[in-house]
Amino acid sequence: MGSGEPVKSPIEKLNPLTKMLAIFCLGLATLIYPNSWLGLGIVIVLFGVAGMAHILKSFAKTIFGFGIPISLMLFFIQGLYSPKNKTIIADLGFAKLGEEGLLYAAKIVITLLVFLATFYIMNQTTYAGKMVAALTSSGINPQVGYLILASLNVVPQMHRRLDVIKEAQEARGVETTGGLWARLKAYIPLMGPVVMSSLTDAQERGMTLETRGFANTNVKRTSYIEVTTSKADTYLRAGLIIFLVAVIIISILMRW
Amino acid sequence: MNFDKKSALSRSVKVQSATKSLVLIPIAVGINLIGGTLCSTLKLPLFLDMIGTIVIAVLSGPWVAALCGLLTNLFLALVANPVYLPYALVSVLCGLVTGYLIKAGLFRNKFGVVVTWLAVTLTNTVSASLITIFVYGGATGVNSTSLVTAALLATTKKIMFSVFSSSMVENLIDKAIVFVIAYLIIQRIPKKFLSQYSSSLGDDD
Repeated sequence: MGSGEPVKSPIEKLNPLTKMLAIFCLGLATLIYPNSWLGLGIVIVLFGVAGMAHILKSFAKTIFGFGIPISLMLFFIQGLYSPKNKTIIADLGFAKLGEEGLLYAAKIVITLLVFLATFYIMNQTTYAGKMVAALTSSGINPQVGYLILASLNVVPQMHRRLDVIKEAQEARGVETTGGLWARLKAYIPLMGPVVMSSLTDAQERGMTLETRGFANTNVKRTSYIEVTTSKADTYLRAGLIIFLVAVIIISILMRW
Repeated sequence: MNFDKKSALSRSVKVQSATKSLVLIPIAVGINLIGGTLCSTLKLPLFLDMIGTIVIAVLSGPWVAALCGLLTNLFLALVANPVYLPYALVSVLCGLVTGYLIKAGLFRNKFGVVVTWLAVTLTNTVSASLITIFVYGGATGVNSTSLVTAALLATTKKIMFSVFSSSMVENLIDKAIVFVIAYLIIQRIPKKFLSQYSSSLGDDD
């Protein structure tokens, strides 16, 4: 998750729950709408949003880096071999290119891109602690909040531990390069100590948390992270829901 | 989203375990992810991202293992790519199958480990293939698995068959290695440590 830019963009200031609602509404709208044009429009708008959040470069890299390979793959699979294919566009010799499969593949790709794009923007503009604080304040169990935050924090910590263990084992003569078998054999001397030391770490964490009253029930927990719902949040939420309802109605009308 | 499901899950998890089990979950998620990272560091063509789930299944039982699988995929979706989110179902099912088979005592000997391996491979193949086909239309990007799928598709012309068999081959190998590694690691965990959890291994000696 992004640690945040020095100057806060309007996207960053939004309540994390608004951003989650945006993922849900935009993704669902794309999924429901009978063709891919709406999704394409949303993706183009999201490029603008990414620009507003000052993450346009990495955003574009993510979208194209994911979009192009999966499009190729799905156009190949669905375009050439979909059982739905009836209208044949081209005959490639070993297989026939069908219109229905291509449209189906386009729909999947665009839906995935909308989800990926909204998700990416939320990730890059939301501090993880703030998201968990927003979730707990809206009624999620604080222990679940702990699980999410702790999982996010524990990984970089274990990375460092792995690096230390790798150096120690290399000094001992464990080969981490070479043939496939040699590399596979190196897996256990590296992974074993990571697991063992993590388990002792878990024990320490458990005791620390218990001494701080983590398992106590019926107490109000406080947080230093303030989550606010601004006017922009309220309007945006209303707008998103109206948008979703409108898309549902239009989709139903288009199918009849 | 799936946060509602999780709060219900957390309630059932809380019933069967206390803080001790709770703090193990993020650690196991970490082990899963580090296992995957180590694979790419060593340039192994595998995933090996289930070690934490297996270890926690031994220590705290099936539902905690399932929660650990769910969180692993949630984390992958957050930091890597939301494509991994629907596959959370696969991780949850694998955690449950592993957990219940271990609870039934199958991890006490090597034969049982083989049975668990085959059961998890089957669960993983079926559920992951169904998600790949019905959510993604056959592939989730260009990787070794989807290239095998494409090659099979070109010769057999059947999408369902191609996705299933490429996933089956990949899973058989990957899960075999994962279970061997997890089994070896679990053997090395001191008995004293295992005995403080509701362990399914502790009473065999």
